[in-house]
Amino acid sequence: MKSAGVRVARTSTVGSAVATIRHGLHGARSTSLNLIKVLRANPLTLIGFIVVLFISVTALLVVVVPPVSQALLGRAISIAPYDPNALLPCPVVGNSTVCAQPPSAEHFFGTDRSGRDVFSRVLVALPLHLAIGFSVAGFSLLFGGGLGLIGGFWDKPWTIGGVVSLTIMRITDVFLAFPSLVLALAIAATLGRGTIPCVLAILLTWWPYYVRLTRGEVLAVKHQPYVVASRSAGVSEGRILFRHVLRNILEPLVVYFTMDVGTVLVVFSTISFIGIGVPPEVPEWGNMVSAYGDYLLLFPWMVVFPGLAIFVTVLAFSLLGDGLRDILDPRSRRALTQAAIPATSVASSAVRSEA
Amino acid sequence: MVDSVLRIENLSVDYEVGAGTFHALRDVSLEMTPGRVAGIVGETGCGKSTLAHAIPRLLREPPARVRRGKVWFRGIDVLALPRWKLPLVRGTGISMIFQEPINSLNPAYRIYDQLVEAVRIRKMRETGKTPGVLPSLEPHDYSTGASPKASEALTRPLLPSPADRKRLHLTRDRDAHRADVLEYLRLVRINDPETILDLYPHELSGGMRQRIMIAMALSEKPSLLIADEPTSALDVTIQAQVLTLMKELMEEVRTSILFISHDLGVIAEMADDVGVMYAGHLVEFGPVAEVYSRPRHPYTKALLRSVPRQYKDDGPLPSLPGSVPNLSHLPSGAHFIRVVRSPDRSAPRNRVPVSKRQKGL
Repeated sequence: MKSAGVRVARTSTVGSAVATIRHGLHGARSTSLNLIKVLRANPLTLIGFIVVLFISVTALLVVVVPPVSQALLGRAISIAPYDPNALLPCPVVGNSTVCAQPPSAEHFFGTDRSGRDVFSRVLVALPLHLAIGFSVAGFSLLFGGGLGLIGGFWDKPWTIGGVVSLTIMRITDVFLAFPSLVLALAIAATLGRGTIPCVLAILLTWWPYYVRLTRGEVLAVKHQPYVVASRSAGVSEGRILFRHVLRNILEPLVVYFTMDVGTVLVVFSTISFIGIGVPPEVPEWGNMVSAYGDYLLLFPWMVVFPGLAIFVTVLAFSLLGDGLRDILDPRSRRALTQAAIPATSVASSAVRSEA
Repeated sequence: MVDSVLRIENLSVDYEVGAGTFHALRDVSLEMTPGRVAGIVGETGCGKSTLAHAIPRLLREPPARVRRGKVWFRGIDVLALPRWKLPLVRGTGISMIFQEPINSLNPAYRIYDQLVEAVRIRKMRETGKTPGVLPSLEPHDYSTGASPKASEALTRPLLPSPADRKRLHLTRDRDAHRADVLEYLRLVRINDPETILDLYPHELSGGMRQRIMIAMALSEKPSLLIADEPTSALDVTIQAQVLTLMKELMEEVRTSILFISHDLGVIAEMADDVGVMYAGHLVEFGPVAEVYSRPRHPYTKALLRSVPRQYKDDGPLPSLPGSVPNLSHLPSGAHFIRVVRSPDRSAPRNRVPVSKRQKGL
């Protein structure tokens, strides 16, 4: 298909150009093909996509393999080479035992001061992080985004919708008045240690940003001529909201959501790092960085590898979010998926139609 | 009065902006008979577009506010309808073509998906699956009060019954209305409509987009089509094509058209009746030939004088000095005044009352 496009760009016969449009359109209709083309055109998005895919599959394997193998083989096989909480026997060097071992073929990321395998701990923490990132950002997207849609679309003063949207926005303002991390820390500290309180704390502070974002986008789109035009065509308000307004603001929302998965993850780790998040025995990246931060120069592997895990995950989601913008925008999508943009051929068919 | 599609009575619309209240429409009254084309001319800021948007209640409220007046569309008091019933009047009842062809199509959907929405709305209403005003209803006799037939169409439940919903499900098939859509694209003289259907709006030229907008408005077969400067954003050659097309279409689809333009020539070409607007007033309304040959209002006279004539060398082109006065501080009584500014665009030098309000208008 690509070669056909290039060929037509060189020849200028209208007939074959129109044929290419059809050809190209046929291909562009399948989204998966689209995705591949966009990924090919943007290497950074490709990297982000591959890493996110790799991380997700790994996380899934970590969760799924033990129970499945338990059911099929009668014994649980873990993806992690060691039990993340098992204290491995420490080798004796000279006349003292040294539990902290540097990375080796046996322990990819070394072991920590209690003799636990760092690689296993980093690996086991992965599903927890992904689940929290997706669920917090996802809930915020649905809840905050929904409130933002209502607040932006029905905002005529002195109507029921206007009062509701005013209330939504002022409550949102109250939440936004606090720095979200500080508020999350305060809530987490109040609720006590543990994964659930920590997630709740982030949830409570996270959705207002989506309300703001969505409302702003709705306000920008809802007076666009095409919305007024569809209204003049007799389209009902609900259909306008979902089909014309929501569809056109979906792109910034999805991009923001994707990048946000990484941000949630950082905040979650931060809360644990400060020491009011998940209990210390739970394998968690922020926890691990916090626990051995003091030994950064002595035993760098204990800190660097969990930190690197955070870094890579967040970066991957950011890169993917960037690329999603191109995939979702019909303009750049067509430009990216077709070697030759058939602008001239469309113009020539327009000329023909006038003739 | 019998037989009118649209009757506007003393419609006044204000814009409430931070600086004050702008009276964009003042006591506009208008009557349109079926199958005729009424043109509205006037310069920038005289309230043409406000009038166009006020009829199907598409004004942005706030800042706009209908102060008083009535809009009767085939016996339905449009301004008194609850908001949720408005979609039932729009589309198959009153449809509209807008000034900006560039943004009037949703950038996220292919042409087919947008055109089919209009076709689907009409088909659903025609088959009685969803409520809505239909073009087949006879014109309304205003002496008998509100129209029972038109109102009846609006009182049916908004959601289709379960049995209907089952039938509706069949028509949700993406290509169910393909033939209809293609027919309307051919009607607006788009060549190779099969290809155009699958393109996105940004891949088309302005003229093609406007023709698609026209196709969309026509595919609902409205009783009243409001064309708000449909050719102003297009260049002259495309404008001529679109106008020729619209004229042909008027004969094919019998629709009353309210044609709004700032171009006297376009109105002369398109309309049967013409209304001249100035500073929110409809200063003159009548058959085109009459208004153009014997203008009664001084503004109409001045406007007609400033049309360039190619065949006559009569010195510099006459033009109206200054601009329309500020609509928030229009002196009462004066109907036609101009604000003349000194060349350095400082404060208004003088306000020139050209005429007093004429009796009977």
